[in-house]
Amino acid sequence: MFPPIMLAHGALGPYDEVIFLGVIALFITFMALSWILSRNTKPKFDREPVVDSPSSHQDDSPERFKLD
Amino acid sequence: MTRQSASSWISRLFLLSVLFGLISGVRAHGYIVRALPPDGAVLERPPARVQYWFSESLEPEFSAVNVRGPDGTIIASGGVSPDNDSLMSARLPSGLPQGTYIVELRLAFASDGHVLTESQVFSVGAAADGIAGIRANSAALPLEVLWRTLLLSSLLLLFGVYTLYALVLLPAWGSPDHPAGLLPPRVMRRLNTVVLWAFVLAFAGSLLALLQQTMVFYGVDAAQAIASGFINTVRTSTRFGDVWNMRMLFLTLAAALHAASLYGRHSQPESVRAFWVANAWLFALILGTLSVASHAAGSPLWPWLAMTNDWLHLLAVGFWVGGLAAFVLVLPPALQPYTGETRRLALLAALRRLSRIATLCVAVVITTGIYASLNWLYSPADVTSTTYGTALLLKVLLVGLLVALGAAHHLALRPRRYQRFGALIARIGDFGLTLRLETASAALVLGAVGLLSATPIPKPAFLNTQVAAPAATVSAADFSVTQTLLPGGPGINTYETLLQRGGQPVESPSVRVQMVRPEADWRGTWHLAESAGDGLYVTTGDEIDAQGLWWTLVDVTQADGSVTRAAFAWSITQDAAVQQTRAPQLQHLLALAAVLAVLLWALYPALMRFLRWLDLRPELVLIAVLATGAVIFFAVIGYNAIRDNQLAAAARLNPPPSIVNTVLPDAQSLARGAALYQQACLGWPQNDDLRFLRRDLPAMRDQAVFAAVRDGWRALPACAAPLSAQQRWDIVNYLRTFERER
Repeated sequence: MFPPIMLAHGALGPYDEVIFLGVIALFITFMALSWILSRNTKPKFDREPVVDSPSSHQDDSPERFKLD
Repeated sequence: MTRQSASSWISRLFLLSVLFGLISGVRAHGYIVRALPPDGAVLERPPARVQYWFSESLEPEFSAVNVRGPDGTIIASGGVSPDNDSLMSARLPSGLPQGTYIVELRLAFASDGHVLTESQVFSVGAAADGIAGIRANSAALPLEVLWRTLLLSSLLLLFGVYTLYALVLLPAWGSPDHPAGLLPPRVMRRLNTVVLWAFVLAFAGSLLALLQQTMVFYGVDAAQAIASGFINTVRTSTRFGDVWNMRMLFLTLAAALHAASLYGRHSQPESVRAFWVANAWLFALILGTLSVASHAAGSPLWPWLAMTNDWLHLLAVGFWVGGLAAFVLVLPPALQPYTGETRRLALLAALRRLSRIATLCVAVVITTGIYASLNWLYSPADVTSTTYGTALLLKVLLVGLLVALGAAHHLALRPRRYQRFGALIARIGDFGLTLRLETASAALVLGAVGLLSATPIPKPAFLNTQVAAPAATVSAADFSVTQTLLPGGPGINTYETLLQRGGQPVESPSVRVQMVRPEADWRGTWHLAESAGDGLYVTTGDEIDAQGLWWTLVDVTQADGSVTRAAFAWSITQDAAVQQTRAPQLQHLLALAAVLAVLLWALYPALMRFLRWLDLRPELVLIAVLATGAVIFFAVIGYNAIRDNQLAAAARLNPPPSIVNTVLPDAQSLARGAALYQQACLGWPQNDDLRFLRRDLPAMRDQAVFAAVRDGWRALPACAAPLSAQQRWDIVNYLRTFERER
């Protein structure tokens, strides 16, 4: 017995629900993981050179600018 | 916020909504892929029913078909077939007079909830002048345009804001000096304001969507839709409602997460970034709900792939357009403390990252757009000869303009590397004008997308070829038996049997139908046809799975219990099949390869990071390669073994016959067979093994029964020679009637 039709568009086969719910589960997992990682790790700002004045940059365009 | 700034905000968001909303316009809808009778057909005698196959599924509760007779009154009504939700049919009463009939179709497409009305015409006897079917009106409904505008623009903006924050603003401007969100409070305030208004628009658009859908489904005004409770019915019993529920669930969760980030920004400032990053994933999922309810899901070629492609397209548009809009909105407060070269440096730090990702997004938008368009174009001529193709060309030209502007920005961001373009770079200056120009160009592209979406999908030319359903009439006893196969090609078919005696319908205690493919020596099960009144008996089956010769055997039981056989021979061709799918062609594969190449390009840095993370010592690499090779080797071996076993099993179950029945088992053949059985198969009626032969008959193929007649079977002797092959087949056909007595 297949689960009740919730999202199936039709013509996609009897596994519509499994695939749709699988994709939802995958993204919710990514969401939860990204929340946990962002919550528990500090951003790696120090790796890249920071400019905060015209005299401090060497490149065409800086990758970072620390906003006041 | 002062009244003036609020007003300014509203006007900006309204403008963005209008610009983004152009992307949705009115979605082109599904269409009829097969009509029986065809529109404008002139028939010699009235059909038993009307049937219409569509390119997409329909909502059964809200789709209907009415047939009006020559005097304008409704003579028959029908709806969506319970077995096939892309088929609408209506049974017609018998004895219809000559004249012109109008079939009114009310179509509610399940994918997007569009409700259309369309009419088709057929005539019996002679065609009437001046009466023609009316094509579906694809004009936009203002309320639908409004909610699509609100919903799509707000969802793209929300996805753009969250991804811009995570991928551009945070790495470019982030600082641990600002614990809540890692960006200055003035920037976070602006982003929060954008998010707040976008959420309001998204919820308003969603609620309007449900209201408008209820209004069109039930044909009521807004007040009635709300007061009657119809809204809940639409929400809980339609596919539109299912997707709407899912989207609202995710949207509410996203709003809750954002509210949590605001609530905890003082007590738990480190959580703000976590909630924002999490919401980027959630909005990617929410954009996916738009693809589920898009026409991509009804694509004639690889619907799953088309839907995934549509999702990728939306995600890329979301970052490109939504992110660009969010960036333009956040720039004023972000750069407010700076002037001159410092301001330029601050802008460049973010713009460089934005430009890098936007370039990838544009590539994804272009390649996925090409792939999506190819799903609906059947020949190069469609580009120039159809409105859809013209709109597509316009869109491509505008995208070209946008790409040129992006390239100019790319040069201006690296003035030292591209000194030879100094004049152009000088004209770009501080990006103020060109950024606005790029936003305006993006709006023009979105307008072209809106035009494209609003343009009906071109119907493939082969659909204009009218293929009549196979039909034939034979006489059996004193009956006239007419059988029609609908549509008459490989696939699911309706078998209609009309019984008449002297032109009048005849009722029978039972009518049974069996499909036979003699070339494969294969017989289907007997179907007990359902009486539809007026002598019409209907049943459905999927036995016809290939082109070639097929027989239909019809056993009509009369009131006195006697059985009359009618048999039909059909030459089934693919032309008569309802074609709702298409085979991939070279251009599809090339477009798909382009999409994959762009994705690989986009993911290249992440892949390289992953590779660097791996321990790539030679011995480990060797083990990994060997292990992977072994897995592939055994997978291929296993796949081939399973396939060979399946083919062998199929061949064992139904091998090609060594001798093929060439005699149609009609009433004459059965009569000849009965007489020959009495004369030649002496001793069979008294032999006990005849009982076992009767028992085994349903499982025996014709060639086995033929061999029994020719050579004998167990204690049954061979039927006496000399018998020709045709005579033996007559006996085989007669012996098959023993199955009736089971």
